[in-house]
Amino acid sequence: MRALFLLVKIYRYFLLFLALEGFCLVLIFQHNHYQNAVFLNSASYYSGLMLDWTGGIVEYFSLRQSNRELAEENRQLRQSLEIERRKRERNFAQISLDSGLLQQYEFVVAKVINNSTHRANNYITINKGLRDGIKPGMGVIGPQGVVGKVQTCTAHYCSVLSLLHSGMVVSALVKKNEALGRVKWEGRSYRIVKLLEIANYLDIKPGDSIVSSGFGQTFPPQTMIGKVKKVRNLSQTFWDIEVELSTPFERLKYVYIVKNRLKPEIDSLSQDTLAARP
Amino acid sequence: MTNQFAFLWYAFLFMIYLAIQVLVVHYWALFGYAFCFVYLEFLLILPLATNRGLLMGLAFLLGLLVDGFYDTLGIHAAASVLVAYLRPFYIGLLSSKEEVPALRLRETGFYWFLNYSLGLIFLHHLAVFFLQQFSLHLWLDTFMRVIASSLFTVFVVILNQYLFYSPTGRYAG
Repeated sequence: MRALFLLVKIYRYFLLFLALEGFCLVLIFQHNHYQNAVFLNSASYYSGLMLDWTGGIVEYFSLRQSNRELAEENRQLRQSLEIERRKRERNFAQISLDSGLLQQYEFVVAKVINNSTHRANNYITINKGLRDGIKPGMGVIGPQGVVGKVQTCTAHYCSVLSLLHSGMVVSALVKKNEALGRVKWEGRSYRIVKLLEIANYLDIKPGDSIVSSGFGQTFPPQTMIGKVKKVRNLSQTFWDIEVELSTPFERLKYVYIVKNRLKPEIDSLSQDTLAARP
Repeated sequence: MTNQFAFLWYAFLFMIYLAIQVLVVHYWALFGYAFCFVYLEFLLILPLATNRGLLMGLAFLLGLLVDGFYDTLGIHAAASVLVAYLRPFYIGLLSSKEEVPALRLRETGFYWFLNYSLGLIFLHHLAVFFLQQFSLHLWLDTFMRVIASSLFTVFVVILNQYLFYSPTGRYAG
């Protein structure tokens, strides 16, 4: 113990020096965003390869979570398959077997390789691109619901306009009464979006499901968006509705890109209609 | 000068150097390239017998205050503490302690003071500029800035020594 005290006494100025410099470095990192950013950047630059490699390992640790989500999705898919099957059996006579209708939507699985939720305009990067037949304008959904819309593509990657982007508007329905509105992010919380243009004579309660309408041909109809969280009566005509997103954007791992095989046909039809208007 | 007067005198100098640095010298940028950190002179001219802990404490405080005005929290403090820590070793390197009467140009002679101030100021500027840049990217450019700024600061410090601390100067400290 005495030796320790002696050692501390001998090196007291050096220790004070180290303590002060350490404190300064803490200050530098906490209060100077530039140094912070450079540190993080260069760190990610030099360890980019390392991160890729460790990312593979880390994925194993979230396998349980991913498995659960996939299983849950499988369950939902099976359920809807079953419903479809029954419907078809029941209405077999009335349905004309149009191959286009049966296979209108095709899904491509992609992995999220970059994502943000805290900016004013958020983008997601995914690992499928032009080579996989992805084109700008296609919808992107996740296991839990609507995610965004493909904006630009390179050969192997796509940049997706997240639902958490000020320029993103999704045509939506209140599931129980089919009231049509639009969903838009207002930039505050990454869990909350606004449902606009729902007239205030309609009956909306917290907990009601909001789904995509499919009118924009971007998302399949009835794709989950979220659940109503809060309804307020602010204006004369419309409800002010807050919707809690069903997709956990902060931990998005896998998404599906929606290829709508009938979109070109529908788009050209509506264009022709517009052109033919007297 | 008695001890108490010395204390008051250096407390006064501390504030003067801080004020001059943040109010006047702050805005000097030679060709937009070289900067002057004249507050260092305070750390250079503190009495030789100053306790090393006190020296580092004062350096930290002064650096931190300068940082406050430069909006670079921690950088000047870190560089100043470095200077304060190395000062005794550097003086020992230049000459044995008995030979140094007081850390003023008129007492030590021009060349000794030039060596003394240039070495420590260069170290300080090296720390400040590289902490600001915080990468070795463009290191040569940063290094040239360090050299230019060091020369600028040393020039101002030595000019001060002649103007204010010489026997004919007004504030012969």
